[in-house]
Amino acid sequence: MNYSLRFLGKGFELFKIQLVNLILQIFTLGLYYPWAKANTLQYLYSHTTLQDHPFAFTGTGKQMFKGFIKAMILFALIIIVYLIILYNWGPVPGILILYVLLLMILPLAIHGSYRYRMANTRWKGIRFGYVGVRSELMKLFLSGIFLTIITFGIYGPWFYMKLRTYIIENVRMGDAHFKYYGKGGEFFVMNLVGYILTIFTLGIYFFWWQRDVFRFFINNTRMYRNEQEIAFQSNATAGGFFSLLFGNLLITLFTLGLGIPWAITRSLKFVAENIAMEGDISLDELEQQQAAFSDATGEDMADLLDFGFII
Amino acid sequence: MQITCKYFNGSGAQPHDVMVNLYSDSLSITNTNQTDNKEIFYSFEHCRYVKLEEQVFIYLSPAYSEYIVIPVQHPLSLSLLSKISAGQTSWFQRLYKKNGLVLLLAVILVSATVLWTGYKIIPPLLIRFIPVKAEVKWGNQLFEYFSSDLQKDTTATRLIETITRDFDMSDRYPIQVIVVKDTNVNAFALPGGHIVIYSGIIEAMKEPEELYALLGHEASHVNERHSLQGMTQNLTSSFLLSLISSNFNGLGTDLLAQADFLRGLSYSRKLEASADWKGQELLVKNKINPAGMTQLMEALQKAHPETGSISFLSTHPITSDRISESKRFVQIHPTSFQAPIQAESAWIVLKKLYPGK
Repeated sequence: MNYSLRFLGKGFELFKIQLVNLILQIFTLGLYYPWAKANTLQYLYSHTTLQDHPFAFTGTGKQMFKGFIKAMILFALIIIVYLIILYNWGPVPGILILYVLLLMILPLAIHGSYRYRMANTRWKGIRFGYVGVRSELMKLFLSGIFLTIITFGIYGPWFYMKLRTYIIENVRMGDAHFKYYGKGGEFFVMNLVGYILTIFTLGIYFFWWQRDVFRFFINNTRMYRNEQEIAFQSNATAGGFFSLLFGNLLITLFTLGLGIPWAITRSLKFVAENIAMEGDISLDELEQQQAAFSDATGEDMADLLDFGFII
Repeated sequence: MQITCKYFNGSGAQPHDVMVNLYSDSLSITNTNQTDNKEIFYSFEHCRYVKLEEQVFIYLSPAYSEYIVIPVQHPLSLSLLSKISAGQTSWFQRLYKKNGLVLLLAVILVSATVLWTGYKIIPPLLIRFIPVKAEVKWGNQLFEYFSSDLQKDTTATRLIETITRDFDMSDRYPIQVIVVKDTNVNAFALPGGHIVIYSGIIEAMKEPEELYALLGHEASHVNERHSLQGMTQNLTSSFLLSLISSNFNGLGTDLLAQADFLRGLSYSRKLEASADWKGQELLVKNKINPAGMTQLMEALQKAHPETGSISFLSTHPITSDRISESKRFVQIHPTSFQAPIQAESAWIVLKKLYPGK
C-alpha cells in the first residue's frame, strides 16, 4: 500500500508566529527563545501529516529553557577555559583549545538533541525514540573526525554516511525501526561528480546534484516492523529543485529576509510532496514503546553550535 | 450535547469509537465498544487543537498523547473550538490573534528601541569589569604575536625614546614605542601600551610636533581603551542583532570572529575623532604645540609613498572634518609651548635616517 506524507503549513501563519516570537524575545532579551522555538516546532509538526493524521511536537519551552541554561553554563565554562588559555599562553593555543572543545561537544549535542527531539515527536499518540548510546556515538564521531583530518577530508563522505547510518538505525517509531543503506563510496563519487560537473556547467548541474543527494538519502532509508517494511522513494526532479531554490532565493532577497517563513513552508512542502512511501506495515498497529525524555540540553547545545536538526 | 467520533488513546495507533459529551468547562469521553464504558473527563484548559483541511484534531492533554478527531463541518465543532481557545491565555496566544501588520510595526519599534538603548548601556558596563593589568598583559601577548611579522629598527626606536623622554603620554599605561622598517604610511596602538610606528609615516613628516601629535593620537587610543571599546561594541551589536534575527545561532562563530577581530584593530570614526582630541590635550599638557596635529594630517594627505599604500589614511580616514576639528582645538586652547632641546637633535638624526622626499 501507499502512504501519504503531506505538509499543510502556510507561510503567512508561520510569519505571524515568528513575529510574535520576535516581540516576546526582544522584550525578554532573548530569554523567550526556547518558548519561541517550541511555538515554531509545534506549528510545523502539527501541520505535517502522515495518512492525514498530524505529527505533534510535545517538547515545551520550559524544558528547553532548562536545557538552554545548562548549555549556556557549559559554553560559559568553555569560554572561561579559552580566556584563561588566551591570557596565559596567547591566542594560538587558545583558539586551538576552543576548536577542540567545540568539537568534543558536537557528538554530545547530536546525541542529546536526537534523544529529546525523537522522544517528543508523536504521531497518532505514538512516541518516536532515539536509542543510540552516547559513548558509541562519541567514539564514532571522534574517530571519524580524526580520519577525516588525516586524509585531508577524503574520508569525510564515509564518516558522514557512518554517522547517518548510526543515527537513523537508532530511531524508533513506536515499535517500528529504521535502516539506512547509503554507503560512503557511492556518496563520495556522487559528490565528486556533482562538484566537477557543477563547475564545468557553470552551476547548472547543481540542481541535478541536489536531486541525486536527496534521492540517495531517501531511497536508502527503510522502515521495519516485525516482518513488514516501508520503502521510501524520492520523486524530486532537478527542475523541482531549481524552482524551489531559485524561488526561495527571490523570496528572501525581495522581502529583505521577511519572506523566510514562506521559503521554509515551501521547502517543507517540497520535501513532503517528493517522498513516496510504499510497503505493508499497518501503521494502525504501531504500539507505544518508547520512553519519555525531557532533558533538552543537547537540543539547546545544538542550537548554540549553529547546526540544524538534520537526519 | 453529544458527538460520536474516533479516539486515539496514546498506547496504540488504532482508533476507537467513542461518545463525546460537552460540558461548560470540560468534555468527557465514553468508549462505546468496551464493556467498561466509564466516562472520563478532560478540562478544556488542557486541550489543544489543530485544524487541518476538513478535520479538527483535539488533543486532550498537553502531552499530546490522546486525541479525538471530529469533522470541521460538525455542528458542535465551532463552539467546542471557541471553548478551548478561550482557555488559552499565554502571551503568545494573545499576540497571535493580532493583525500581521500591527505585529510587524511592533517588531520594528521594539527592536529599534532595544538596539539603541542596549548599544548605549552595555559596552561601557562591560569595559568597567576588565582590569588595566589584564589589558596590559593581553596587549603584550598581542604584541608578541604581531611582532614576528614586523622588522624592528633599533636605532630609530632608540631615537624615539630620546625624543619622548619628557613627553608624558599616559598615567595609567606603560607606553612603549617602536619603529619598524616599512614604507607603508601607518602606525597603530595595541591595548595596554604598545605603539608601532612605520618608517613610512616618519618619512612623510616635516616637524617634530607632527611626531608628537601622532604619538598623542595613538597614546589616546591606549588611554581611552579604544580597542576594548571596539571589541565590546562588536560583541554587543552581534548579541543584539542575533537577538533580533530571532535566534542565538552563530554564537560560537561570533566568538571565533571576535578572536579574528583582534587582528584588524581598526577603530570607528568616532573613536578616531576622540583620539585626535585627547591626543591634542596630551600635547597641551606636555607644552607642545597642538597645531602639530593639523600639520600631521595635512602632511599625510599629501604623502605619496613610492611603494606600499597609505594605510594610515585608509584605516584612519582623514577627512576635512578632522582637520578643521584639530584647528578648532588650537583656537580654544591658547597655550605656551617649547620643544625639549635633546628632542630637537634626536629628531634631526631621525629625519636623516628617514628623510622622505
